[in-house]
Amino acid sequence: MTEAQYSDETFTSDGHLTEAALTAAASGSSDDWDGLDQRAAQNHVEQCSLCAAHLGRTKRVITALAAPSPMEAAPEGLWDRVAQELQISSAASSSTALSPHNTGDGIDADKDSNPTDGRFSTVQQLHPQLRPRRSAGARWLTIFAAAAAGVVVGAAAVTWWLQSGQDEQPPSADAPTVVGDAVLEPVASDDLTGQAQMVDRGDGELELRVDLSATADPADGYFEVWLRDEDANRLMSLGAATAESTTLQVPAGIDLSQYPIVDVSHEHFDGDPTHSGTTLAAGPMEGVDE
Amino acid sequence: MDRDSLGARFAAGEEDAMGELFAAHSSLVFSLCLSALRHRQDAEDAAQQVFVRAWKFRESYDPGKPLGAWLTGIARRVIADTFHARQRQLRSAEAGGAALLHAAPDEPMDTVVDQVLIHQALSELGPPQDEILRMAYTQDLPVRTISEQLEMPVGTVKSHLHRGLARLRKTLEVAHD
Repeated sequence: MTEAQYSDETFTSDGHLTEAALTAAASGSSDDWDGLDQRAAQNHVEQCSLCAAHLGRTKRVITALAAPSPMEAAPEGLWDRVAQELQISSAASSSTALSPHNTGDGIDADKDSNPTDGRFSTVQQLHPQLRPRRSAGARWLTIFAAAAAGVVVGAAAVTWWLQSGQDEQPPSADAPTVVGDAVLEPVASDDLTGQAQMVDRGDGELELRVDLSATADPADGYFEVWLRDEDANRLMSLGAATAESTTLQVPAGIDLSQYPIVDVSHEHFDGDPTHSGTTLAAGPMEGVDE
Repeated sequence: MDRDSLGARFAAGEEDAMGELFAAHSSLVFSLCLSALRHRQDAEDAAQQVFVRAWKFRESYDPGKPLGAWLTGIARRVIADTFHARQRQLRSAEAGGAALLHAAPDEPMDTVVDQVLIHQALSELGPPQDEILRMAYTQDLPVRTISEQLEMPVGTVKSHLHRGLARLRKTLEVAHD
């Protein structure tokens, strides 16, 4: 292999300083002037603003190189905080921003993300009307606000609890009665739907029968069913649900008028009993006509 | 102007473009903030502010200009605001932590910006130029030593040095604020 073309010229053909001369002038090392005309170069710089500018920048480059590298990767979670503050979809970026895996297919999309931030990077393409409302408060609260924004709690939904509350005479013991019905619409999920029926078992006990459109449990976790109010100030877990159909006990003595919404979340096996922040589907409980 | 370029899509308000912009420049922005503020939490908060402001002011961005330089300008202002806040804290009774130590930058902001831009550009140069430049200027080795260690003729080493410096100099030409 031939040696790279290196010529010991001080000036280029159009009369300006060569890179060799600029480097020598910038480094301040006399060795670098070997074979070059230092005096001519210095005279030229005093008269040529272009070469003076190049020389100044070359000095800055060498000064910067002399310092250790200050480069660091941005911390995990920074994008999620930015996306949340801007109310844009967290799925638009991540450390795997251009990865084909991060295309927002709902339940499985969190597999690439940092486990400690999974609750936020799983919020997928929310429809515009379901985007989290601006909030400076707790992060998970804004996720619920997104769910609630798409869930209208009408007067019928609130008052039915008052009508069929704990004070009423229970029906006969062997006639379980459907007393409330909720249609579950997708929130963070693209396609999960379902139905939840509040059933009076006839012995004073209430249970919630939940049917989901899913044919399998979510990857990396499970469905959990909650009763809550619109803003998730009140939140009560009824327990885990499987794909298709589950029946859950509803605790006695709770003022159900304060928990009008049925919420199905995507939870992970992380030992954390709180709501993950990802509401897959939800809907208001409404009274069944007598 | 290329309507499909990242800068054009970003200025037009495409959310995916914001994500791509973040992925491409998050290290630059965070490194600037950390170098200047010398406090990790402050740097994270400042970096977040830079990207939030970038999105809010996206319509003022000229897609013909480099995104990195535009973001650097925003970062300078956020960093300056952070120093002002620290100075106010010092005057009140509640100063602590970063405010006590670093109410003003340790080095001029221009120096910090140079360091981040040049080291980022250096890593993008690729071998053998990046290694040769590090040996010559970060480790201060003479050309003869570099030539021996890399088993490369002196003339070749010098060539790489000069071309590498010229490329890094172009980074500064593009980036002026």
